[in-house]
Amino acid sequence: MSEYTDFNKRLSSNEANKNELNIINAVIKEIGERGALPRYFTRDEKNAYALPPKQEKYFIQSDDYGIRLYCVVLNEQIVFLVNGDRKKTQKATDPVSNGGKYFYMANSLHEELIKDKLNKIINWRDNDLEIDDDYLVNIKG
Amino acid sequence: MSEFDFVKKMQDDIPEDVRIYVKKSMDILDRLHELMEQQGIMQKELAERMGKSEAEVSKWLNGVQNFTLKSLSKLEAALGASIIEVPCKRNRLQKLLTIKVYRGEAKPHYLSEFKKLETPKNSNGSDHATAA
Repeated sequence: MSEYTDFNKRLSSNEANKNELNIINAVIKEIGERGALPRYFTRDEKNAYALPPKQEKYFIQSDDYGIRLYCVVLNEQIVFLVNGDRKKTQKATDPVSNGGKYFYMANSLHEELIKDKLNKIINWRDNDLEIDDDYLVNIKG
Repeated sequence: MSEFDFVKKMQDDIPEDVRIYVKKSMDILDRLHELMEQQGIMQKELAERMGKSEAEVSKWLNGVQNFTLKSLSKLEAALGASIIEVPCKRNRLQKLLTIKVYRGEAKPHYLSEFKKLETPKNSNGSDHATAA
């Protein structure tokens, strides 16, 4: 099962998450048509890009920063949807943050992809991702 | 259900109002960036034009916001261009009036600029409609 499917399956089992998931999935559809511009993502920490985009403050409660789906954005046309959870602390790096695992996973994937591109193991340009069928990437998370 | 079908179902099940909210929010966001690019201004200048803090304007330019009509009006005034368009009754009426003139009926004096739409007289003196 892909990380993105796991994200949807795990979180959609709770009816209270439905509206936030709908917004994230609607944004993904729009990004598919408009391109992955930085302004469509929340970019609070490190290289991590997350969905949904930043929204009104009323949406955020003191112990609830909403659901985050962490992504790896290689360029405007290539995006990896990773995984996520409800963010309960301001910083995803906080040890008690339940989204932290996926935040690190996305950052690690990003780092490894960049490393492998520099080592000419993989390459990408525009919407073309050159990758071998047996390509494996070891990520933390 | 296969993984592909599950993801497709998640997409298909998004309520129409949520789709519209997300699309319109992103349209507004893109329009703001487009106007600023056309005018060659950064968020600092936009904030100055609006008498707002740069932090507040930054929030509008980076994310989807539930804009109030007041905020949108301020943005339109600051950028001197329309951000959202609403199909209004006035525009529809104008179209109806244009059709009336075309058919050679009574012409309100304020529509005299539509000269090319005025109906020529027939040899028998009666009005008739002609295609423009």
